[in-house]
Amino acid sequence: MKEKTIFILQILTLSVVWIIVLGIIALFVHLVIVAHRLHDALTAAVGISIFAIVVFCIMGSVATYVFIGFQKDKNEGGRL
Amino acid sequence: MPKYGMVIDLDKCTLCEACVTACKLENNVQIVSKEDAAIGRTMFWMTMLTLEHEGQYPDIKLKRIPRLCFQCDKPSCIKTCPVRATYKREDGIIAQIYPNCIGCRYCMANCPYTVKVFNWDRDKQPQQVEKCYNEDVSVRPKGIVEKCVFCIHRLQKAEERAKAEYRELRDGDYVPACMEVCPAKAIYFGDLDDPHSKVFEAIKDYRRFTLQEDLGTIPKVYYLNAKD
Amino acid sequence: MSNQHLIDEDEALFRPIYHTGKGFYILAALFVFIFFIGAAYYIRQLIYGLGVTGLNQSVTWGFYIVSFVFFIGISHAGTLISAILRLSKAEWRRPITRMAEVITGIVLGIGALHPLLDMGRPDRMLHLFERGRLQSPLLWDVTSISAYFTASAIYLFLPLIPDIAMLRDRGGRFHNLYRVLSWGYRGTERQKHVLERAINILMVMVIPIAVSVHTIISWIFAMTLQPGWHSTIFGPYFVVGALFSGIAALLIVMIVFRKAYHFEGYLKDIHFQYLGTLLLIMSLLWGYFTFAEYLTVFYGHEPNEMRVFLYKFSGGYAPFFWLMVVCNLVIPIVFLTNKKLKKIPGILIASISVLIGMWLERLIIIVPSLANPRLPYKTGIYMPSMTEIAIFSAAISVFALGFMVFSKLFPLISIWEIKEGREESVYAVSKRLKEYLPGAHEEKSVEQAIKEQL
Repeated sequence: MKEKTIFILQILTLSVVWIIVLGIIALFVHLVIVAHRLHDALTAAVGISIFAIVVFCIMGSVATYVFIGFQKDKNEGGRL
Repeated sequence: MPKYGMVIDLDKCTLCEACVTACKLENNVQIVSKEDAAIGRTMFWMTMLTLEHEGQYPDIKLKRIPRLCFQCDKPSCIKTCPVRATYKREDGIIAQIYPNCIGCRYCMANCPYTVKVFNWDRDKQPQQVEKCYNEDVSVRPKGIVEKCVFCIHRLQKAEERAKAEYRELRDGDYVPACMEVCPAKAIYFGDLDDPHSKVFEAIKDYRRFTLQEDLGTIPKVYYLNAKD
Repeated sequence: MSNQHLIDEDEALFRPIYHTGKGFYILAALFVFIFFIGAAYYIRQLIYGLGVTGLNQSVTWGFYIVSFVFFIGISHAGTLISAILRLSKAEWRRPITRMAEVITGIVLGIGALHPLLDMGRPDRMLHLFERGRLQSPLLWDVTSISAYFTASAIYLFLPLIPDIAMLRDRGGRFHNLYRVLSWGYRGTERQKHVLERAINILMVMVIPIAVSVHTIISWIFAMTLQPGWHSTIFGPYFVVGALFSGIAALLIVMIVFRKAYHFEGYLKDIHFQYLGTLLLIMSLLWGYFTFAEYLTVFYGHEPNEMRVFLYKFSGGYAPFFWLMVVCNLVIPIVFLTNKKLKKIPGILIASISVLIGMWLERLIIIVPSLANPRLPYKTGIYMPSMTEIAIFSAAISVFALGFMVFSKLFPLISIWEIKEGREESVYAVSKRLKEYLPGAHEEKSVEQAIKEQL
């Protein structure tokens, strides 16, 4: 396979993580809105959402940090 | 807003189980097969609970009480429901939304009175039963949880009738099936906050008690019994 | 330093990826067969409903929830143990972290599916997302398990990257897969640094997430009002039990693959000795928690609690209770304190007994409380049906299959960590040791010293 195809596929693997993270954020925002609309345990919803969204964002960032960090030395010529 | 509640006078109760039968027919509660009944899957919204059972026939000492959903003021079941399939209405009735239920049975595990029942199977009902299904109440599919809801369909009907007659809902307009059939008139039902209702009179009785009072669930079904 | 030389040195670790024996295919076929039996039973359950299980009105949770708690418990083997060992710079961790992390990944997936098996209406599963109530502990569980799954998947993947890069450089089978997954890793100084930092961040993050997962699973029970469940000790009690069964599962996997793939040179007696000691410590800790839990119940003598207590101690569940005590305390203590018995066969026996015992522990926590409700009902006796047993066997085969497939794609022992240990740690550890001792005033830090050495 060509270098470019490989690179696109690598970005796809990284985006899997971000799809999960964004999905989780969307889900929790939705759940908080529903809880607010129905006046049903809003504090629990907000508390857990804040916690979960932060945790997932950190995980996404760590994966991205590794990905970007690797890209600089991807090709030959980097200092071994 | 009314707050519906019930009082059962155990000193009047004759243990005839008419309420149990009426409830089963009124709410289309499934009659389970023999095999299912043998492993403890019988379904009752209202049932007789044996609290004490001593001695041998004929010198028997028995204490049984009719038990239905206690419609707690601080219910533990709705807190754990993950999908809003059970909720507390403004009039205090703990209602079930059958199309929401995913059948996780968490509410059953968290009911301190174990009043909820699960539809393990959907068995073929006897023909006579199928003929007399109550059309006001849905027939629940297998895989969901159900329980007594104070014959909530009767409240809707009573409200509509009162509206058609241009009047307010009166005490006695809305009564559940178990109260209606009780031959000993041992069951009182109505608005606990309405000082003119019969049930308001009844809960002032010194014989009043509820089951598992120390749990703080505050049941809205009271019993009356002179301690013997 | 030439890479070729080192790869040759650790050739035994690459071997299973390129060479597959006959036994592998036979075993895989067997597990696939068991899996299909379980799948057939599950399809039958989908058609006929939960009536095909042995559950009844008061015992509404049984085998599925027991297995759910059990499998999620085992998943703590991995990430938690490997994170703790990495964090505490235990050098002997090097050949075992990978296996521990793989256990986590596979078992977490299996465990997380169990509530789905238990649902009366799995077709309505999406209601959890559409109208979920975050006040319900079930939603807490969905949150924490998905967080743990994501974290442990990343935590498995990151330390795998250098090994994937080695596989990529060797060429051959799945070359393109390795090219994609290696993310362009070439082992430069900067890349190594980035990877190390990322692993350090995740390692610190994964520990609280792992603890939260099993605490929240215990809260499914502890948040209810049921006698025997409504206990504050449940969080730590479940976490200890999870670690306990996790170490046992890790030991079994290590012993099996050491034999099957000839890893004798890497998984040495010392690894089993250390993990065995850890298992013994967890056994004693578990015993302490169990004792504390039941003594308070017994001393308090609250009637509802006592009914559950007596059901476990001398009633219907007494055989399981005492078998659990034997499996979780007596056998591990006998086999792990005796020097003659604390060899690989003895450790294997102790680990298997711990897994059985921990499964029974979950059963003993869940069923007796449901079978003894507060009001005096006549409750049916819970006996699992064939469906539940078949699906449990299928779950175990999926675990074995997952491990086998993984071992054919990636090395089961972290090759770069072994290399790193050989090249750097010997020096770093002796340096570190000198720092601990009195009188040694080293001006240079350990990191500087390592860099100089290279």
